[in-house]
Amino acid sequence: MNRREVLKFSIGTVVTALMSPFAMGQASDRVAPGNYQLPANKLNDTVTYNAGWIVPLEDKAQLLELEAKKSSEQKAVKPVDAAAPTKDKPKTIADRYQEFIGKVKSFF
Amino acid sequence: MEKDKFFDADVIVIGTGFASQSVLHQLRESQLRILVLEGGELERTKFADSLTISDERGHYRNHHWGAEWPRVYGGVSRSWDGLSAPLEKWDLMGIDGRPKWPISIDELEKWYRLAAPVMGEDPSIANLVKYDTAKLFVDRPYVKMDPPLSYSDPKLLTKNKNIELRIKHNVIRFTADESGSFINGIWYSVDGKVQFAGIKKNTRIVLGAGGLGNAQILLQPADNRQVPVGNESGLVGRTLMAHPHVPTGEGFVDPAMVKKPSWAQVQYKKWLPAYIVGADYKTKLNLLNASIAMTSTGAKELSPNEATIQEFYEKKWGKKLELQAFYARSEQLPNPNNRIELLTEKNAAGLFKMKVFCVFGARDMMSIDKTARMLSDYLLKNKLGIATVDNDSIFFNTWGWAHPSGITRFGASPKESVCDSNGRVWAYQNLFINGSSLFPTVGYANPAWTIVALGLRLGDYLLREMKKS
Repeated sequence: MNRREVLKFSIGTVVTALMSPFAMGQASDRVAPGNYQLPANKLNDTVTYNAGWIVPLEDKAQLLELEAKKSSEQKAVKPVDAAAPTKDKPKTIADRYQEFIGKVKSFF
Repeated sequence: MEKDKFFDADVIVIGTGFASQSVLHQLRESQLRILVLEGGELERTKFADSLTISDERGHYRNHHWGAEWPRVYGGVSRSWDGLSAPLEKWDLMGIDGRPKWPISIDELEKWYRLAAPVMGEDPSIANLVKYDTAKLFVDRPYVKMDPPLSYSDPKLLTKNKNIELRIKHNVIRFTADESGSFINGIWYSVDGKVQFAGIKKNTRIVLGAGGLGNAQILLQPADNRQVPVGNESGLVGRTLMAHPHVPTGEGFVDPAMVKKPSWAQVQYKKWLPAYIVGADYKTKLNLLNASIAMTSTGAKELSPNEATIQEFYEKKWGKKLELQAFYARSEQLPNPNNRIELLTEKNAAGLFKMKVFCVFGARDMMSIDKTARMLSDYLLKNKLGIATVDNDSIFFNTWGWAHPSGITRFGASPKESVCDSNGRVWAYQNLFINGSSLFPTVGYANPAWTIVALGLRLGDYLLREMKKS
């Protein structure tokens, strides 16, 4: 490597380092904001709806509507339930998981 | 150490679980003098239970293989609940990282058929090895063998006058003669007291000490040689496989999906509904063999989310849908890093303890995920049901604790396997192995039926071979 090549190489390095943020950096106004909605996770005509159900894409809106209705119905019923004395402890998710694993283990 | 005994027998069978009892089933009517060595006693003891504990690393639910590996007369048959399924043609093929089985499915099917009555089942269940491979999904239920095969009564064995049973005899390792082609002695211990017994050149030894136990014995270091007797191939303890187990989700399905299957003239007694991807699709999509079983969840209170799904699709499709839990088991790709090694510490019987590595790989898990997603899609497109696929459960909570396989595998070449197609250790003329440790690939299901089928086949081979000599 002669002196001319060393000079060319070092100038090239400095220029690349100075230019790269402008050439490759992303402008801040193009970064997705916090409330950005991801596009629907869809594959062919199916879509993942609440809790991982694989449903047809066209059913999703009606399902969400029906579920909202059912949830509000359940909430409306709940205060009455709360007033009634409960004998058994309600099962937690952990209890159900244990129950399920127990069932599964019984296969072996 | 004593060195004064001699085991004078035509066949020495080590272990009393499925792997050994199936060989004995063939030999017991013969005139051969048979010595059976069992490490445990007639019932479980603390001492015997302590012998199977090892240092375990990887995907284990309870971090204790030993819990499912009882050292007692009858072995794991004492606690087995009867669940099994046969391997299929696709499982025996050597494809993409999987070694080939040295026997054909037609031969294996014959032994499945003969093994079925031994397990209290109808021989027609062997028809399960054949199905339409071009189908996307095939119903391949698990057979729940009833009554479960249980060898708890030693009298069934010892009523034969040619059979001698010795309990509390823990085999430690073998010794070989100078030619290096015959086993000529066995080191063993009784109540921790180590002893030696010589054996004759024409005595056949059948090692059926369990999926892990077989390899543990063949890995024990020898005094006067660098290579342990039995591990001349260097492959003993490598490619340990288990079955990844995982709940994949739940589904509301058409009751027809879980009805008693009627295809292939199979006479089921009890079954667990399950589905696998057809062989053609598995090859095309580069999948391993995974099955999704369906179990009724019984009456449970539905969440608004579940109730919505049920109500909506029952109305839309005009049919009743039942809630089922989906549960996957998959084969594991043989991986040389999944292995057993020996620790420097010995157990109470004088065997070096094991360190067991068994981790599931990306392809194992992806096969479960892909199969579960494909099944959901299949149900939906055919209006047969609607299901969830739980990513976290599949990828974060995969577990397995049973069916160790592949660590003394049989094959067509001594370069790639420990045993030949009959289960004879390549280097020795008189050492044979039976058990899941022989399997080059494991399929997706509990291996009991396959172990018994191979045991009957080995017993038959020994009978023919010894008649000749």
